[in-house]
Amino acid sequence: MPLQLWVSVIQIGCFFSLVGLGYYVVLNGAGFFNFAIGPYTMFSGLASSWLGFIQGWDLPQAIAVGIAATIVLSVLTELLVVRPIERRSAGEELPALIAVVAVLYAIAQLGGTLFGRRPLPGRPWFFFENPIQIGTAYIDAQVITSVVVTLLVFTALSLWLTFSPYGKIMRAVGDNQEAAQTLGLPITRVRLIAFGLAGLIAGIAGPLFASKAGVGFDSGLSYSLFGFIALVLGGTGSPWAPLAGGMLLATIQIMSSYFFGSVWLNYATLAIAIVFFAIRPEGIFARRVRA
Amino acid sequence: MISKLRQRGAWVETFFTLALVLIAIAYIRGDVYLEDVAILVATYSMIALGLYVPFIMGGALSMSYNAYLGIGAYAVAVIASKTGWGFGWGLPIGMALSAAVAVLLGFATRRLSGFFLASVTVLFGVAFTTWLIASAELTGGGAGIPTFPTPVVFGVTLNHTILVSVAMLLVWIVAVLLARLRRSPFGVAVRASRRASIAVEASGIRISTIVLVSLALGAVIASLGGSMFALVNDSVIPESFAIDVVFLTVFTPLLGGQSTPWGAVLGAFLVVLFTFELTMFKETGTLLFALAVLVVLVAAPRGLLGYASSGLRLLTSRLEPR
Repeated sequence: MPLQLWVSVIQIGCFFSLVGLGYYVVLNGAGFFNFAIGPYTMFSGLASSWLGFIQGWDLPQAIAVGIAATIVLSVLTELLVVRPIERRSAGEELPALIAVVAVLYAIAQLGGTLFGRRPLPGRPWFFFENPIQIGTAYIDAQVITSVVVTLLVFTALSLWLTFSPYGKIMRAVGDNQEAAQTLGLPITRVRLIAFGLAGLIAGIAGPLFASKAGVGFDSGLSYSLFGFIALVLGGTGSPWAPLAGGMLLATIQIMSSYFFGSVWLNYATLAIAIVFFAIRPEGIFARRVRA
Repeated sequence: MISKLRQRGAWVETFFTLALVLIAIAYIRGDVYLEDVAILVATYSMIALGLYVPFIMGGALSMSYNAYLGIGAYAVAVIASKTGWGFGWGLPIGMALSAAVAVLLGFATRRLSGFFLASVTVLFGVAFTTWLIASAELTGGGAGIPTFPTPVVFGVTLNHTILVSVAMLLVWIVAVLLARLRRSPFGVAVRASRRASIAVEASGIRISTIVLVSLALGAVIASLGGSMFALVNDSVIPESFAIDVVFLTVFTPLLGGQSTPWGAVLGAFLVVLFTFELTMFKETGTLLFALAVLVVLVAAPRGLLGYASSGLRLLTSRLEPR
């Protein structure tokens, strides 16, 4: 496989792992797979592209508004939809799953209604004249930006989980929600923080990746699916696990479409999901909690 | 006493809905625009009714229904345009293929539930559309199959109007049969498996078997809907069978009401109203539909028919002598 494609693997892998990290945060803080994370990511990307290209805003303001809107959407998902439904359904998983699929669909339609149904290109965050050449591969500024931002987000989140009071509480909730509740830890506030953080991560990932592939109102579904697979492949044992899962998924997707043709991207993704979910649903890096 | 009342209720439901369907058929007859709306309602109803068994009764969110719809439609189109066989072969072949695919997929995902099952079945639906476009020699690729010979039965050419009427009657038949199935021992077992799986297993019923049967049944129903859709339109294009159609239909039983298959049909009617029929919703129709679904999910989980029937029950209990 040409070296240039490995550069793509890294860039796409960064994106998948950021979305996977969004899942990871909500899974830890609220015990719930937030399928609407893909549409949050789309919304942030599409909003900042629309503000930039159609409204003529500067890049930093456009991205800041996109991120802020995404955090609001994520928090509203918890307050208006997930919390009331989980309270009513008494531990049954299906109502919350249906509701989050409905949120996924609603945010895609909201994006399409507000920003139009044509896909928009993104803008690079940084730019320099001559791409760095390594062997046969060229590395442009946006690849470096993606890698640096992704590593920063992962580092910040794992530091936050380890050292900040709410981060510690979130890990406790992730380990054992009932025990955390018995200890009197502020469960509902931690859930809200988890949703807000997921919105922040998705908000950063959206415009970052839009500069590579563009973004349309219906991109969110595949973001959700690929991020979810990245999370499951990596496992939930460590905040760094989604990074491994994202890189693995990106490698599989790019290799299969390089060797067998582009239609194989979807077939290979389906195959890896079926095989991995059935054989090792706990992922590569699983955490063992003593009961 | 209760069972007699219930039986009476079932007969009333059967004839009332038949009357509604016949009135609708008479009303739209000959109006091409209304017929287009009607076939869309009938197709969405068939997907929603197909989803009804594994999803609403069994609690398994399997989302690959665009594939079963597509298999039904392409079976009819491919057989009518590429073989010398009668068009009638397309329907059973499509249903058999859909059932086989559903059983294979159900077997591959037998250990998955909830979020994992939903995402694998969505991936399957997406891969199906990719396959439709990629296998051009069979399916015509991105252009689809633009036209095929009009079906003829006993010397009578089945025109647009007849086919739409047949499709609407088929929706009625399937909904009535599903309402019966829901109350049958099989239906009770499927519904019970959602919350009391241990009790169902303990009474000697293998849950894995009834899950596969309900998935196959749902696929057969969706495939029949796809076949009728293809026959009425006299063409198939892959866009009609993208995963979007699942997102439009998966919420319809919740919108209409889960306690009867007619809720799925009512929900399908509402979807078409929001997204196709009312031109004032042109841009925002799907958004309004999505918000309506969220409002129903959060605030009115029993759906429209659920509230209607409890209102009716309240009324009749007041009227009946104690």
